[in-house]
Amino acid sequence: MSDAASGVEELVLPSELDILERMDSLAGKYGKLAGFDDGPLMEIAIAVVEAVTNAVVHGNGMSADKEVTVRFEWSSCVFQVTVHDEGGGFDIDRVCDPTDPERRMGTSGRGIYIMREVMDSVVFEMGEGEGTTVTLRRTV
Amino acid sequence: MKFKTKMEGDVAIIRISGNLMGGADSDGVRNEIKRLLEEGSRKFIIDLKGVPWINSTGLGTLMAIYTSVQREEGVLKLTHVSDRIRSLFMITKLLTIFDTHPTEQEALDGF
Repeated sequence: MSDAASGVEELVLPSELDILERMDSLAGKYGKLAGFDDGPLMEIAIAVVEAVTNAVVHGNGMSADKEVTVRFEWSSCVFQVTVHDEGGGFDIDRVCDPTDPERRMGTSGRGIYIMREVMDSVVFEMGEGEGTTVTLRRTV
Repeated sequence: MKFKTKMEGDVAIIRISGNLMGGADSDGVRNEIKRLLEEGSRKFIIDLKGVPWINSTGLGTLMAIYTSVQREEGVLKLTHVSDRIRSLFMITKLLTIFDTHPTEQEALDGF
């Protein structure tokens, strides 16, 4: 149930890059309802796009048999999004800093770094055979 | 995402429209740059006027293009970089890597 100041929307989506534009749009819409200004709204949309990109590409491997679940939650001054994929997970401790001089010119490995830079919290949950869930949260 | 290539003298201008999100479309731009390099082009402008935003995969595509042009001692300039793309460059500390210009003409004048 939603009102102007708070609400929830959950979507189950195919593992396709085409869903990113809609996710970008919804992040902006619900972030605005939470009370964010243009600058932070842009950063929230960037982070949501990264989380869904990771789920589609790295989590589900763009498989037509796997889905991505995205849950937006917003209330006064708080925006949260939870993205779940059906992939095999990864070792979060092995994620490298892409801004290290030796990795700076790399062509991949920036998604999690970007999420962490712009959101207040980024929490990953992984279980054997349960896929990966990432929850991103930011307050005004 | 779509792109068109136009030659302005010895400068190849690649105009992209649509969001750069990785996948087959991004491969198309990389392959176009590769083709142009093989044909001898060394001066490139990528016009992002029609690109509202990119994700990290699209950023990876730009990095791959930058690296392939650098490897052949070429020059790559970006034009019409949106605030959002510039923000992504800043977050990832790549703002100083890319040579950005407000317009195609200003980029051309700099060659």
